[in-house]
Amino acid sequence: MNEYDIIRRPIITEKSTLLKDNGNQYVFEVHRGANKIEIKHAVEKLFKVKVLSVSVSNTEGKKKRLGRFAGKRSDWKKAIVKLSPKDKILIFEGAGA
Amino acid sequence: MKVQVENIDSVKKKVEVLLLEEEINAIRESIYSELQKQAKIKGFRPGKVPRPMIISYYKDYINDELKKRMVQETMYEALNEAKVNPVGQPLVDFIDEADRQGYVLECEVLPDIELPPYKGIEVEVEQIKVSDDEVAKRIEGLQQMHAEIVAKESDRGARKGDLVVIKYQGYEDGKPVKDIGTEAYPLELGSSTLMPEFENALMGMKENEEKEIPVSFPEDYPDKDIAKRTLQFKVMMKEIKEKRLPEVNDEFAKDLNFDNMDALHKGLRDEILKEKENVRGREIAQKIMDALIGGVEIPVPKTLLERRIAAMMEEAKSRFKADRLTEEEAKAIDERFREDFEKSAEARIKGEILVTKISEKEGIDADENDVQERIKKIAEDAKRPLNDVRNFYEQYNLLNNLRSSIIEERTINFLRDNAVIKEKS
Repeated sequence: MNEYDIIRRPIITEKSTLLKDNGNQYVFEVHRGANKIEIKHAVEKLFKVKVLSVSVSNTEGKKKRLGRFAGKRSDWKKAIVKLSPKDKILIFEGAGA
Repeated sequence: MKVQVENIDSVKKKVEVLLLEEEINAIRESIYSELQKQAKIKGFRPGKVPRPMIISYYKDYINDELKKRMVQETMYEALNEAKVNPVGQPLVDFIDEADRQGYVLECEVLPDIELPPYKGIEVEVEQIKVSDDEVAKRIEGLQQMHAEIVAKESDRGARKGDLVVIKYQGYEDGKPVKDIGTEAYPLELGSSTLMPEFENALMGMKENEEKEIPVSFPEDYPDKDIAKRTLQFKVMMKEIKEKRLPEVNDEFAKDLNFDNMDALHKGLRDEILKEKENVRGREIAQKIMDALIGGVEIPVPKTLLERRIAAMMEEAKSRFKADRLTEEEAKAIDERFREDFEKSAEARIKGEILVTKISEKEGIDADENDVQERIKKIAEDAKRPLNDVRNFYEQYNLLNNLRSSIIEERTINFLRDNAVIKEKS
């Protein structure tokens, strides 16, 4: 599994922006089978930054129904990555738009 | 804000407006805060999007808006400072260099001209005379207007001046032609509404008489369908009525609200005199303008000229009922009249420039009261409620036009008062 498979996408929301501003923490959707260590390495390699810690949580997909068909969005794993205070990731500043 | 003016030629100026850092930032700031309120970006509640996100998401919009507002907010002031009064919209070109931010306005302006001497212009006009002939003609016209229509007395044939009703059908090669034929057509004989050969043939016909009349239509007959064709008309005279003119006497004068014939004559004479004076007043004004325009070189701003020509074309087309014109016909009109229009538009503009300059120099002006007075007068003349008229003018933003037309009128009156008018003997 390479780094691009592990890090799926950045999560850019109000909440994640707050985390970024207050604790230099960045939020990603990651591969469900990845562990903290793999995520740490992947982020360090992809963004050329130093990672201090990683927290992960499993997020259950929302249950959706369309008329009589019940469905479920895929579950996914969220990683909150704390970077060293010197580093930052530009995508979160709007650079990726 | 730094403003610099460069004269390109007598009707063109370049105004360079450089804005200070703070001024630009203030504009930028206001764009941001507006956007921040409305921006909708996924993951954020409306109004809660952080500024860096907004800047990067709406980059192009912000740039365009910044340029637009820069001009909008500072152009008026800049032009004021530069003392440039453009005619029409200036062309805007943006400067975007590291230490120079702003824009360049290319304006067309009224030329600064040396006014020719405009007082004591000599104008020669015809003397105003009202001949008895003209009065007599006027009376005849009145007679026609008040004519009574009566059944004719004897069993005579139709003659000139009669009102007749005819039924006709056109034939070509023995076959009736569609659409050319009617059950009852009222006609005044001798009014040359129809082809003369046709009308002549009707003379002398008695009621219920039938007749065949051949008519060949000329090539340039307005109705294209039947031009150049020869048709056989079967005509039946249905009715002949006589027009009886009122006798010209004191009674007639009284009907027209005059005491007697003498008063009528005098009244008509005065009326004609007034009309002629009006015509002559315009003629004098025209001659003064011609003399003024002839006496000085006036460069004409191009956009102004183009706009005027376009307006004249538009008007001409609407007179031709533009919706019925095909594209080619419209184009033909464009080409045919363009040259004429260009000349008269140029003369008009030159005249306007002169009048404006003269009115400025002489301090001839019109204020809000004058405009309101004028609206009142227009309403009275048109017999429309005052408020309707006022709303109309306000709605279409014509108050300023009205004001300048009052100034123009006053200036021309001023010129006329100061001209030396000679009557040809």
